[in-house]
Amino acid sequence: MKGMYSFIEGLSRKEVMEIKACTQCRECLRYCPVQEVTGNVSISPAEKIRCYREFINSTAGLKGWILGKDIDRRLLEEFTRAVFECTTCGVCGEVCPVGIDTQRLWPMLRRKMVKRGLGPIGSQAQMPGVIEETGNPYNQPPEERYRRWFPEDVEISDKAEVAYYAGCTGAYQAQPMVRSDVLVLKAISKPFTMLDAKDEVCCGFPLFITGQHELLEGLVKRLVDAYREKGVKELVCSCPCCVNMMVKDWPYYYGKELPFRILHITQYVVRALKEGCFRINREIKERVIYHDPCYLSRGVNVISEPRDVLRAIPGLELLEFEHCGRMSRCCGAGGAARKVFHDNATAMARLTIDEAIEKGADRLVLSCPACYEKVNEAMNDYHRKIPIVDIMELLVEAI
Amino acid sequence: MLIVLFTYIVLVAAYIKGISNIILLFGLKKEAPLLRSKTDVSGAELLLATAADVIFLRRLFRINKILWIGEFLFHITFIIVVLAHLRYIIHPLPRWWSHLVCAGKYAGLLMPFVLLYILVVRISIDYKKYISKGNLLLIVLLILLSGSGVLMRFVMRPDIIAVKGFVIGIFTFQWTHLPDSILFVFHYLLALLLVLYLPSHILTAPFVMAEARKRQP
Ligand code: SF4
Ligand code: SF4
Repeated sequence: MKGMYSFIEGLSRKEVMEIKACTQCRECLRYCPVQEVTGNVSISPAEKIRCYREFINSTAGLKGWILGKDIDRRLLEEFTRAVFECTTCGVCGEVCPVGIDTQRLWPMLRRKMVKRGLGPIGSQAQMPGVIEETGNPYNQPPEERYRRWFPEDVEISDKAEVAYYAGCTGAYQAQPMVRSDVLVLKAISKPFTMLDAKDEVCCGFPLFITGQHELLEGLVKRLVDAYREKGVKELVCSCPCCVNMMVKDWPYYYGKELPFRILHITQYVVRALKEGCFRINREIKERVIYHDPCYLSRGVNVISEPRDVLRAIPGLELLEFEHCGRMSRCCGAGGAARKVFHDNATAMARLTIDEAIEKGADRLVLSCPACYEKVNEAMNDYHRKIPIVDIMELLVEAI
Repeated sequence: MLIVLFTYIVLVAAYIKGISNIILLFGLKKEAPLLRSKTDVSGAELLLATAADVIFLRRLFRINKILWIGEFLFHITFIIVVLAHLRYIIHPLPRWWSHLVCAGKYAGLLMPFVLLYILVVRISIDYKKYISKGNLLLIVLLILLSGSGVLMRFVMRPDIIAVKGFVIGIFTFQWTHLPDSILFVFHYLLALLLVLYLPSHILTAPFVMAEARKRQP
């Protein structure tokens, strides 16, 4: 009977049902990008679920009630590594014949392993301390957050109905992207506000995704209250991970519905185009290919808006990856795994680069700061190269 | 007598397993602690869509049509055959049950071929990657079970009265002799093994599919 509920405590009925519902059909293996680059079945979605189900059954099911045995630490360590090697891209859940919400399940299982003292892995463990101290996971000075990229001639209102959240990865690692966001917001010519550099702290996503949830409530309350005080009705953000966190998890940590709506920047731009508050003047005669970020497409279902933005640019020819929309293949940057399982992430990013080149694209359009950073980095020492551009960067070229 | 005892052990184990799983699941919080599933779909729409997903294995159809043909036929034939088998437990049978028994005869004939088809599809893709040991074992068990069933139905028929008497005897605690057929004993033991081995997705997958419907428009 020892430790009877320890493997299910903190999980919801939905998650335990999902673990029990896996048919082991292994359809997911054919789509998992980590499988594609490692070929290691023992870290596949099906195996992770089978292992965890075994942990539950051995400690809490009929077998557990009769035998009540503890799980071998080696097995737990192997499982932990497998669940942290995943990019949490969620394509396994998308193709799963049962419909298991893996993009949500893996972070929850990671949290269980963190609680057992087995995770997180490598530098991920420093994240809570660093975020507490600097407000961002990259250990960068908070006062520098906007300094290196913020356009000079853009005015920010003190209070406004629309607010822009840059996000840590954009602000510190993918600056052309956030700079372009701000230029587009300026072109839309509606007043918008931002928090002071020191107040715009991490949205909590990296902590959530690595199963370290202790600081989340504090971060979320601090951010939501700050935007509320500025009279914000709509919060615009371009980072898919932040948007996902804001839409799905902020209400929980805030304790009630948010006092504002969350919009991905492409949703905001499409609406502005429809309302005529914004015009595209220049033609771009190019063939581009658009990569759907996992947390934008499968996460919050923003699929048509980025395409609408691209189609609004005259002269632009839009190509598609073989797997696109909700089926898109992860570029390797997700799940806070890119720094720890660097080789996997690079190999995945190179698959994206290869396909973009093979499809004959002039440029690869991204709309996620983590993808932007990873794909850029993966071209170092690689014989194939393709120019990359953020969707808002491209839009700025056309206005 | 040994088989009768084994039957009770299997049934009790399956019962406790089922109940313990239900207690386990209902003891947990319903909503994901960190997720508020939002949906614009109405309850009735969701129910209908989920029913279609479950009955027609729509999600599998979307991604693997070749396997879907096999899996769909297997699930349908399996349900018909199980219902037809209830004639060994229920007494007296309603009149219309005879149609079901007739359907069961052809469904049962189809089943081993459908299972072989599934096995071939799975093995031909990428054997090591695409079929787990557990699944392989289950398919082999089902092939043997359905194969022995077909043999009994069409080639070496056991004494049907003795079979029914034996099975009803187990449920009424009025045990009779085991029918005099090795094939029946083989088939019966495999069926008990299947009860023990019955995958948990039978119970949980429909609920998971309903959740997926809310998430994936
Ligand atoms: S979430 Fe993505 S990387 Fe992780 S197991 Fe599923 S398909 Fe593989
Ligand atoms: S596709 Fe779904 S049901 Fe099949 S093995 Fe993968 S997680 Fe399990």
